[in-house]
Amino acid sequence: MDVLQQLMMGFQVAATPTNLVWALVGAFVGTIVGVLPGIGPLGSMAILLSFTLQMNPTTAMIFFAGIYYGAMYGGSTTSILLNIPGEAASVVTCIDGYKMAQKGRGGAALTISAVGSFVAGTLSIIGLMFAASMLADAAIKFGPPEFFAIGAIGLLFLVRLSNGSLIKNVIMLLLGLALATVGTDKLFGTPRFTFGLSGLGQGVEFLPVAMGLFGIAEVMLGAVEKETEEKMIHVRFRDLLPRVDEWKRSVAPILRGSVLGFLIGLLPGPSPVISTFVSYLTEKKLSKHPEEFGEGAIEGVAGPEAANNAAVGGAYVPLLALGVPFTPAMAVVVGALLLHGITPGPMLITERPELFWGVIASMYIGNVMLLVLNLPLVQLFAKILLIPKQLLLPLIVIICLIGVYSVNASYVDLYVLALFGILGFVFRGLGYEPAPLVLALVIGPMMEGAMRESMMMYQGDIAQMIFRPISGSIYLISAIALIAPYILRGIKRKKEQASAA
Amino acid sequence: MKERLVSLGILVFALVYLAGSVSLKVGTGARPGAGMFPTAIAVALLAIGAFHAWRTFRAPSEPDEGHSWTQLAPAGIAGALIVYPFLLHALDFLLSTFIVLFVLFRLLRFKTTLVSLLTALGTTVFSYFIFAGLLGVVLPAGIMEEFILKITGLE
Repeated sequence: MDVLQQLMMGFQVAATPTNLVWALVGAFVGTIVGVLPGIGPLGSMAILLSFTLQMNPTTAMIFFAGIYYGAMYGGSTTSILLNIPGEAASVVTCIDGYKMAQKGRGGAALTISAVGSFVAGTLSIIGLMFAASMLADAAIKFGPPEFFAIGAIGLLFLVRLSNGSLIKNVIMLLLGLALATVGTDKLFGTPRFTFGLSGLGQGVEFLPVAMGLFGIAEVMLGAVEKETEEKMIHVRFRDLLPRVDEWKRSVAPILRGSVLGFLIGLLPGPSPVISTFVSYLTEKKLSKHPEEFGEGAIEGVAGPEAANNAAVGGAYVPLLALGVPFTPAMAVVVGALLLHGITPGPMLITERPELFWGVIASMYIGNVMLLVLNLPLVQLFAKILLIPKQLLLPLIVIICLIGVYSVNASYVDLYVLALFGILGFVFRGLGYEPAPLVLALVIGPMMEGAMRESMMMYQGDIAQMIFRPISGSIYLISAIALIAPYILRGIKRKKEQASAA
Repeated sequence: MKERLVSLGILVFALVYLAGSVSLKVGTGARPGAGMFPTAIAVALLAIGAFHAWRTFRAPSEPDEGHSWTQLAPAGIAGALIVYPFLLHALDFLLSTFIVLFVLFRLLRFKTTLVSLLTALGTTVFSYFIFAGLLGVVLPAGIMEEFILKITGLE
């Protein structure tokens, strides 16, 4: 079957009434999540993981894809109308989006943002479709040393690209890897760090850790934050139509943002956030009117909004092709797949084509839904911010508690949730990013298994493990990617010093 | 102060984890045991944790920034999270969830006591209806829970 035939099969899967309803629910929930500051797509996906237990795996994936995309759409609404970014990937949109709204062009900014998100989302799905199939074909040749290399390099990039202090990110990563070693050893059946608790025999569950660090910790941090009263700028329906010059100025930034976003999305770390900054700086550099940036330039909305949506498509590539999540949100998706007994990996596309192509097709449908949903309901979504946090926060706590308990009916999981909620509050308050810990917890067992298998394959000869053609290339390319910025910076500094002299 | 405490906590964890790791069979390069990967992680964590602790203690002591660990609301939420499993075990879903939800509403000063009470009650019953009734999640149930499912026709 060629790609088009497979895609048509995917559309047949995605267009069933159940899948369409869940795609719509996901898109709607995602938009709300994007609007509400604090509860990002990751937290909400973690909270809603238990909802997917009764679904079939394809429906669950379609639901999550809707949430992820919806959050990117929704985040821009409050950035433009209230100067409050709904989630981190919409921070950049505040700069010019809110200025445009103050000048009476808020409607145009919202439309350009929605259309840009739609175009970028669609383009990135095309990229995902081809890149994931090609990468999965290549990955069939991968052995344990290659999977260890991908895991190690992925985590290395993650700590490098995550926000905050490098040393704190490394500590969180190592804590995550340490947690991943809890449970019965898969090779010898030796219990490790279980303290005699049978509930820990299967290891530390990912769900209560993620929900604690992201959901509960967010609630606790939200409880101590002072409420701010922002003035919302109202937009009439007829103001939503951009002027011809605004359309013209937006086309190139949207296309550039789509490409940049997709490529950055392939990298480990908070790719949607990084892509918006890169896109904004690129547009400013390429613009004939850089002085307008910060004062309400439409390019400053079009580019970043396209980029953050395209990054979502990119982030799905390593997950669907290799089974390795490179962003915390993708780790939740892995969690959902594992809950349904599916281990993601290179064989996913051939073994479960209905899942892979169904999710891809649902992304196209979801993007159309989001475009139709977002523009007419923009004021309604913005009003969600008016729900008092005194009502919202306890409800999130209860959903987390029920959600965690419902997976295994385990009291141990509830204690793990409480522990990581408290730890998350303490750590996040001091600038320790939870994302490396969560990703390490998910990737850790795969890395350990791959490392031990590789060592046994090569009788403990680490050099042979590293210098295999594919794994060696992975290490080499990654080393160049990590070192190149420092070298380029050094060259630039020398040039500046020389010209100053 | 908080930075120092946390860095010390990480260091203590690394030491305990290292002790646990080496007590497992580390094995050889050709036949790695259950303790090899944990030992490698523990050594790295201990080294980086020690360096981080040294840096935080060397830096001049500054007044703590950000939120306090002892503020009532987060402390109350933490308490509710710890107590909830015990309550759930002893009182089943409806009563335990109602109590925790009501306490959280009051902690965060959501409107009046009566509104908090009614909202907690409504939310608890509604969430049971959604999770146990519609989604089929198995939650600890007693007479009250069965009654809810009976009157909604979802038993």
